[in-house]
Amino acid sequence: MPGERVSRTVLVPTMINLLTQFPDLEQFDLTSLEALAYGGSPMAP
Amino acid sequence: MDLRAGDRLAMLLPNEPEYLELIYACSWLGVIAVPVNARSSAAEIDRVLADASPRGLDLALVAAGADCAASMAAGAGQRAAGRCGRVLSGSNLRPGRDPGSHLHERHDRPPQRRCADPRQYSGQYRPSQLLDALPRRRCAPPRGAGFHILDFPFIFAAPAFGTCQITIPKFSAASFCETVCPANASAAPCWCRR
Repeated sequence: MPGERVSRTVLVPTMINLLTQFPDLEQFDLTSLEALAYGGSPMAP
Repeated sequence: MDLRAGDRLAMLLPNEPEYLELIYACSWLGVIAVPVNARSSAAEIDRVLADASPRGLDLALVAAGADCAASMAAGAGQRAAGRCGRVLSGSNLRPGRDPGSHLHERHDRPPQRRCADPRQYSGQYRPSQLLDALPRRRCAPPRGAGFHILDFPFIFAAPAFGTCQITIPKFSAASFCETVCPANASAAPCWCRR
């Protein structure tokens, strides 16, 4: 289900960590995302 | 259940299949799910339910399984149930129990209230990299909605505002980006059209 124009999402820090380490991140247009919430465990600032 | 779109349904349940069933049932009906952490203390549950009580919406109910209903009757839930509506199901009430301890006892697991040391994550996360990739637009909630982080508004209030919830069954960075990326997006996902 590619390209759903997701505007808001909730992830856990493990997922955010995977994203930040994702080497191809810049190849994707994530401009539809307006807000990203997280929870479940602490995350360093 | 006598629930209509826009109603809030508080859920005090342990992690079990019925929880997911309720979540998706709410999404299907347009009911706003208010998940309440079963590990919370009575005071915390009271606070969440007080905050999530009807605000311009028709009704809020408390749905609970037998053990959860017992927990709710034990402490804050009793007040909250009176404030929010009615308990949909419940039996085996045992007053004087902390809701979390009750549920944990049911699963024969002691409550885990350890808080991880943030220092162990030092240097591990770089969320700013991801946040930098996001557009610098102000996030405005739908008009008239009073959101609280404890409401899990992004996901659970979605059906009430006509938005679509998308679940990524097997998360990976690539699958997430492909799901979000609007490059190949259609006007609307087929399962969102009504």
